[in-house]
Amino acid sequence: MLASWMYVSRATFPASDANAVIEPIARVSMRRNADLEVTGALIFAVQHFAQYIEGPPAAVDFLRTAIERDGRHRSLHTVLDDRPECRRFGGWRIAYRGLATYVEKTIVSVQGQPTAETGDAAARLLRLFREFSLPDAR
Amino acid sequence: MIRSVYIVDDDASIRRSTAFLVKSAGYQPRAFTSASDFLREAPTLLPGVLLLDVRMPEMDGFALLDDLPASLGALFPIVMITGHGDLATAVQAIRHGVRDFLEKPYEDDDLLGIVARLWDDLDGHLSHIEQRSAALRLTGKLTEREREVLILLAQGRPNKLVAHALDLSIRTVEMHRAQMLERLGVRTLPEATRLALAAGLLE
Ligand SMILES: Cc1cc2nc3c(=O)[nH]c(=O)nc-3n(C[C@H](O)[C@H](O)[C@H](O)COP(=O)(O)O)c2cc1C
Repeated sequence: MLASWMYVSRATFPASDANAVIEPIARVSMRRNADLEVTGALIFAVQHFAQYIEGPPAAVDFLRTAIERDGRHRSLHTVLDDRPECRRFGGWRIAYRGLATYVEKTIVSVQGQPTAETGDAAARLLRLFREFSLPDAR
Repeated sequence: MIRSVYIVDDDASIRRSTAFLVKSAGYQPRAFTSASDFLREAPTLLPGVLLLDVRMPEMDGFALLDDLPASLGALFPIVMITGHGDLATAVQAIRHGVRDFLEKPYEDDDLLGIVARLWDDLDGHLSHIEQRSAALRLTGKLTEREREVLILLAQGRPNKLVAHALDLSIRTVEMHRAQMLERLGVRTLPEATRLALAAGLLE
């Protein structure tokens, strides 16, 4: 059985520290997610995070608890937690990290909405992850 | 310092209004009617943010991305602007090095916010390049031996271990060390270490 979790959040560190803060997150996640058979993607745009993870329910739960109490971000808003039939992602990676307000707007558009009403926003955010994870077409 | 903003758009009225907007915010605008005009001049232009319209007749914005030499890419952060944006196109553009993507019609403040953020980032990048070349110039004055001594000391090794590693006497290491500091124009090892780091000697 598989569980998934997708959320958006706001960074608590200044933009100038982004590289120094995200490097260790990437390192831990690469290793731990692989160990836990968790796949998905993380996006960091300007001042906001969005992340999708999926895997064995206990593993997703365990990571969720760690991530939810991590002081490097706040205002976590769950956009989706479902039981997908099969995996949506083949591995885990940072799909995007940069200054694009276009990407940040897509993240912010789902923040502050009650989870039940984020259907369209959730689909759009999931598409954002997918587009960033697609094999390069050009 | 001049903060340039380059505008590439085939529509004269948009060139004029965008130039006016960025100028009123303190930037130095320069407009081009086509991507190929910009590309031709790019090697001689000061670094700046490039506002690029994607649907232009002669050469579309995507073609410019492929033709802009990688060495120039970092000096001209690109904002792609389009009237027909969709998520897939935006992500494709960003994956090809575009720094931000803006859909028309947009608010003036949205554009100015993006330009300000990218210029901040460009400032950081330019000062990094400048520090690196200054550090390279200074460390370039060192003899081979002094450079070796600098690298080992910068890695935190005491004179004794440096002497051992280079098969020299401690006294000789001390002499190279003093000479090295003098050539770099610094008084302390931490200052010299910063230069070694900036010059990429410790990578
Ligand atoms: C936005 C964000 C996303 C994160 N994603 C992951 C992740 O996917 N996997 C992971 O192991 N840690 C992730 N972390 C780090 C965890 O919160 C936590 O610091 C790390 O797992 C170490 O946990 P521990 O301190 O409880 O051992 C993330 C942190 C942040 C701020």
